[in-house]
Amino acid sequence: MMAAIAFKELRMLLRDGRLWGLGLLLALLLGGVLALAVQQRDSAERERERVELAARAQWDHQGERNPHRAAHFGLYAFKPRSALASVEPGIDAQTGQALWLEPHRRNLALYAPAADAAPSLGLGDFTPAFVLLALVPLLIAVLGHASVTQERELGTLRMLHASGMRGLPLVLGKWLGLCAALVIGLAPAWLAAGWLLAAGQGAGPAALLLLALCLYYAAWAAITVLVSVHCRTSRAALLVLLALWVGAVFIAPRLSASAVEQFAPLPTGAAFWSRIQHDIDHGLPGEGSAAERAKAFDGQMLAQHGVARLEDLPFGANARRRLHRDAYATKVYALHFEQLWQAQRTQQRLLRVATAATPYAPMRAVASALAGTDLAHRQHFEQAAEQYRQEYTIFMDEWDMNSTRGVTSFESRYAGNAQWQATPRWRYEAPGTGFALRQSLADGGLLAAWLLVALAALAWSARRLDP
Amino acid sequence: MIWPSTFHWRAEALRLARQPLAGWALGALLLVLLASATSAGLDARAWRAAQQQDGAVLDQQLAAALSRFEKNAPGQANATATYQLGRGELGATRMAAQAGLGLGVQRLAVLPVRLKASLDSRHVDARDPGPLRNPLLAASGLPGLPAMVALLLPLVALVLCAGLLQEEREHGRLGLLRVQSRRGLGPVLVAALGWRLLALWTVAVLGSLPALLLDPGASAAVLMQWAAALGAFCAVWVALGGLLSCVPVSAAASMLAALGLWLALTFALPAGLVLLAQHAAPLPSRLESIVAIRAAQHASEDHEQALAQAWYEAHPEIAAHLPAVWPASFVTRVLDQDLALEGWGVEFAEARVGQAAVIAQGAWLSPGLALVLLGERLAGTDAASHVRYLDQVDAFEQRWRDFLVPRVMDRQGLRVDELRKLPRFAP
Repeated sequence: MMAAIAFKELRMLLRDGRLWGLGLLLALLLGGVLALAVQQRDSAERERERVELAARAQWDHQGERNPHRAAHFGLYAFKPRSALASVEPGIDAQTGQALWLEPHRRNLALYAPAADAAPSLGLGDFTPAFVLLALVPLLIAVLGHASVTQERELGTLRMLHASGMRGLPLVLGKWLGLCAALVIGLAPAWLAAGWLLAAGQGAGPAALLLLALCLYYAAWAAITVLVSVHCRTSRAALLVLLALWVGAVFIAPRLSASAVEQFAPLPTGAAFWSRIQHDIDHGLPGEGSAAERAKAFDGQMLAQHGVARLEDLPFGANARRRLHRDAYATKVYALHFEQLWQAQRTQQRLLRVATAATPYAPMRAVASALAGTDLAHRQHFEQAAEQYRQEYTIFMDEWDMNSTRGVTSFESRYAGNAQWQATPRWRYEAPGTGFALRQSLADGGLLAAWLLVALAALAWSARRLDP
Repeated sequence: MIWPSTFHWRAEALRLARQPLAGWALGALLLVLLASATSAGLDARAWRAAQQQDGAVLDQQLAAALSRFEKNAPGQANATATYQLGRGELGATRMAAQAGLGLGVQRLAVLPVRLKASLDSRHVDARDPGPLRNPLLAASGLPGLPAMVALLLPLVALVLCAGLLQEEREHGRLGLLRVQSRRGLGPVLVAALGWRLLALWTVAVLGSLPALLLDPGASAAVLMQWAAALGAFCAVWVALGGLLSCVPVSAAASMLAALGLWLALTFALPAGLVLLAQHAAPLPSRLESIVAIRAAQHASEDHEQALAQAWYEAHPEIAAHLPAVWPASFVTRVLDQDLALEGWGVEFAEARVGQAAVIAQGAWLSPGLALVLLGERLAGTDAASHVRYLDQVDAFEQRWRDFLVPRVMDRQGLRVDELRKLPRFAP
């Protein structure tokens, strides 16, 4: 019986011009937005690769320099973007595009695209993710809002009831029919997306995204039929679904983010940087001030080599002191950045709880994780860049220490292109799909819970279906 | 004559008041706007408080610097102290906000608005790290009060106006209504839409009030302008809703058309305008600018002594100290780097202004976008105001360097009486 209802629902939707009209419109929209996003991402990636090579070539061929002054020009790390990042740019617009890696200091990434963005409404960019995550649920609401109310308005629900039709197969059949119609109606959109993403070598994450989207749409379809079960008229059902859609997509996530920011705030930029500076200057508890640490280190160094002056040391004293000083600064930076990231992760968890009342937020989180544009991927990149910063500054200082004796002047230039070219190269391996899956476990679970709860509510409502 | 009589007004008021859905929709809109406006008002208040403290903080920092410099004798150490002072916090600036700050305060979290005049280059060592925010929350946070109005009010307007005539037709009451009204359906429709306009406008104004009332810098004039803008915005959407309700289609089809119209005017058209603006005035690449910055750094490093010598030749009143050593050698390098990179800054500013102009020209196509742009203008956080702020910072930095650089280059440093005359940023 359920299959018969599902086929009837599917036939009805296929005969309805709305499915084909809106499905085609959505496919065109998704195709257009995705083509533009893919083109922009590819062009940005080409530019990143070009600039990365150019910046490295500048480093490699800078000629004779003082090695420490050269190190201060620094190197840059750029985060590569996955193919799926063109579908869900996630937090990319809010984070810097380039991380300046210099001695002594750990930086935040520079040039967030949001700061350079043209004036807009501020509701987020019109991305493929917006079409897939926000507009498709609206299509589901438009297609399915009358699934039960129409039967009620036409009086056929009473007839079905009278002929012994039970509620559960009826509503589940309606849900299955709506899901099947969506699969058929969105087929052009899937094909367009698949074709555009096929070249991007993101097949694995794309398949997982498709799976998550199926869960997401199924949940929305269940909610749509559920609302239709409980409303007297199709108009009321559409209005309720519209309100739910606006609340789920625009209101709940935004109010929650604002509330989380108020409830668990991050330190201000000034406080963050000044605490780091304070801990470097005055030392972590029990570790003495910078002057005391330097004095103790100098004493130890002189005693170890049996000399009375830094000038008599058999290696570059300044470079050795820098290594010691920077190791301490690195420890302080690591401590404060970990605290900052921990605070950001706490905010993320709070946001997850606050937005659990909408399937949109977990779906967006899953899409971002799979696209590599979430907080975890960002922190992975920044951690890798920090490790590289330490690697290259230590390399420079160790070379300086071993190539000089005593105290050298910063004005003297004793390193050349061979030294720059020997500096380790920046290579970033983005984490694999397993990492993305682990990051999206909680949100994926929420998504599955949404589907189960919606189906359970549908089954419960079916028993009380009022003809 | 389509102006409604008192009876029309009364009848339509009763009809609207007896629609529970209208009450729910308006109530929900009011609640969301109040939450959004309160958040914006509190942010604006915090910004004003910090702005008021700026003067006192600068006074404290200057007093501390004066006490340090009183102990210094003229000489290389004092010149180094002057250099460090020139890189410090005394050069801090803050973008000036206008009376309607609560209507565009969200831009302050995105734009560089706390730049610092420095003897270091703002392209390199004195780069603004910007506010510390969780990018996840920044990406999904509240978009500002005008954007919330632009997003939600049209939906409520369309819901209130949905099926005004179509439902009457579908229920077979339209003919009766036409017969009962001596002057046709015009006055009935005008009265119905008039009440909806009034209800929406009242809710929008009430919902916006916290954004302005919580901000001590807000003024009555801004409130009037904002209220007028809200009136026009409500009128556009009520008129569109009214027009759709007159179209001879079913109520369901009319609602779908209303939804499509809302999506087009709120999302598709602004996105199209942004694309058009990016095409008309493309921003130079930030990544490419890194290569230019590196080239400028290397060039100034290579010609360090020549740059110092050229500076001394251009300033014969200062005794030349060559070869120049740190910090004098660094100061002239920075001046040279910034000169080389000036073009990039100009290109970015021009592109931003160009994009803003394209979007402002087309904003009439999207009432929501026009409302947001007006909010930013009233707040003083629009693109033109920001570019003006960048120009002010450039001018201030010029004065800052003109004042401090000679004191670093003469290897004598600032005297205390000179330090008292240190330039201050005044937008």
